[in-house]
Amino acid sequence: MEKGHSDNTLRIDSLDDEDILRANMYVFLAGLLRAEPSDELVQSVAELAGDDTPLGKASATLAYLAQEMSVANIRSEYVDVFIGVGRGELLPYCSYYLTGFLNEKPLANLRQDMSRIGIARADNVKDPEDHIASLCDMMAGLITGKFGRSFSVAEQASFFNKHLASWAGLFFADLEAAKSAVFYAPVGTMGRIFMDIESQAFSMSGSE
Amino acid sequence: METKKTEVEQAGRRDFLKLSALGAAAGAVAVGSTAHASEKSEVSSGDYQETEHVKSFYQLARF
Repeated sequence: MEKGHSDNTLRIDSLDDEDILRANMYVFLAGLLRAEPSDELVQSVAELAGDDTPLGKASATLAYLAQEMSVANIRSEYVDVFIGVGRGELLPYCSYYLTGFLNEKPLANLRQDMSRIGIARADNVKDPEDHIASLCDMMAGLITGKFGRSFSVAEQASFFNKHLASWAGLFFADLEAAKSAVFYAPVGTMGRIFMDIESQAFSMSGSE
Repeated sequence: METKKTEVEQAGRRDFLKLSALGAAAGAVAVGSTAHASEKSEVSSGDYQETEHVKSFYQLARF
């Protein structure tokens, strides 16, 4: 399914700096949470720099781990945390966090919104769409105008509040504390802090 | 006036985001930097489908 749109170009140069940073952050998190990281992804993480803020410290920690841990160990950690045998330590799905089960009403609600916006699930993706990585991808797309048009802050806030606000912070806190997580612990920290920043920022825009 | 109020709110939100040090964290995977600006034109409409949520945003991010 492809919604009609006049211009396919990603108009990055028309985004505010802050929105570019937000989109980057969503892309960053999605990349690490979607699948075992590639060698290239681990290398780019190893090059992160962080300042003294909690977010900066977490990214510096993550960079250090990317430098010190073998890629094989990072990948098997991903498997332990998210895949496991039958299930991973964590199930990063909105439905699961809100209802205790996968493929529940929160997923149905998300699919309705995706249909309205014009986002369709890729054929080769077998995960339900309410996976944290998919939702981060979608937020990045709403910010950058990837789905046919740019979405206002109010629209982004609405999507965030409906599909992320109630659970993503909890998931990232779980990731921080996950027994199998070493590399992924600071990913959890970064995600938790970022969800908080997004929530606060949306509430400041008067568009919740 | 409604417009002014919204503008002030948005300015407050942007300032808050500026101070939140988001840039420190994800700089290595930036899509918005000028180094990547020239890559926009490489994203043809054939590649650029919002039908995949695992996407060409990553091509731009060089993953």
